[in-house]
Amino acid sequence: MRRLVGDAMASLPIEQRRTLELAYFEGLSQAEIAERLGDPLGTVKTRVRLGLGKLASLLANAGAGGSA
Amino acid sequence: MTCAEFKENVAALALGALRYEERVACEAHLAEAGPHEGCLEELRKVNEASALLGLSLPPRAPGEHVWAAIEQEIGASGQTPGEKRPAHRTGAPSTRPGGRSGGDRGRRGREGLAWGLAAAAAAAAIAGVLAWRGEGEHRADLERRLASSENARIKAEDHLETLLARVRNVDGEREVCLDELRNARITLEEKERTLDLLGAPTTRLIQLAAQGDVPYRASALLNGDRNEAVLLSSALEPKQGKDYQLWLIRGNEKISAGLLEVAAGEPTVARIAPDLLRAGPPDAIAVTVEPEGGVPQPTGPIVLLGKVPA
Repeated sequence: MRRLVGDAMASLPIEQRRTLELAYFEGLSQAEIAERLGDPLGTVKTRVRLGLGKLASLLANAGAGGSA
Repeated sequence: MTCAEFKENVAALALGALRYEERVACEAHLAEAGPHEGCLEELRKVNEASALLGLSLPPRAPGEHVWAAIEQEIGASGQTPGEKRPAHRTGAPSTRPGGRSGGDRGRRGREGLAWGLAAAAAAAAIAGVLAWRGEGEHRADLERRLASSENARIKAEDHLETLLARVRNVDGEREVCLDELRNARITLEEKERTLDLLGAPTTRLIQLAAQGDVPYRASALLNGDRNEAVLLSSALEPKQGKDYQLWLIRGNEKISAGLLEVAAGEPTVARIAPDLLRAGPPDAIAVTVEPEGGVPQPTGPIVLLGKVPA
């Protein structure tokens, strides 16, 4: 499972992955991420939405994302 | 907030990356009676992905400083009030009376001093009790949070184990289905349709177990959203004057889903008519051995049976 999630994360574009990591592991809000990375807030919001959406699809396709 | 706006924010909501007012707006939207355009489903999907994000890091034991900080936090809150705040209990009474009584040696002065001492002692005692009570609550709160976090960790590990077991099982099942599909003598078009069904995220695999002493196995691919179901079975032995008949079971009702076309040594693939699925998924799927041509209600032995989880 750990490898599955790691692989799914690794397959995301680097900007999306970094954004998800800052939100999840550092607990930053989208506005704080935008400030930290110097990117527009809208860009960060898009990355969060696309990144987690892709991750969910990848995990669901791999059989790990279904509801328990 | 509209459903479209909610979906724009749902990933950030799952990650806890929304500002307070945005989160409140999302929660208020979810609480609305609806109709919603798949808002809950979308939230569930990203929540599951978000919950697994922690696994993308290599496992690592907490550093010494983490444990030290926890121990210090617990240890500090376990001290007596006097140890933590000496000025409240011991400092004030010993210093303030002396200051107040500076040049007053008379009776009134001594009475005043006695009252002052008593009042200071009472105030210190109350402050001490309040401080002790506050720290007790703080400690209890910390212990509750620690216990809750431990429970959450155990629950998360259990959930992961369940998911893992399911992935292993499903992967194995899909492999078997693919093998049977590959070897089945059906049209390319039917193979493609079945492969498409097998790959659909909402398709469920129902295992049918052999009943009695027969070496058979089968899986049913069931997709309620698409009203599609296909039975994939290992090679069934042809029987002279007999047919294998497929049944959908709903409560006490047994509905014939047709006869299986059996060829020696080849897997069997049977598509179930969509009309039979419109009433919802069956409770179980079974295969029986019946007189040639089939029967309206099952009479022969059951050779394969699978319960459809609710």
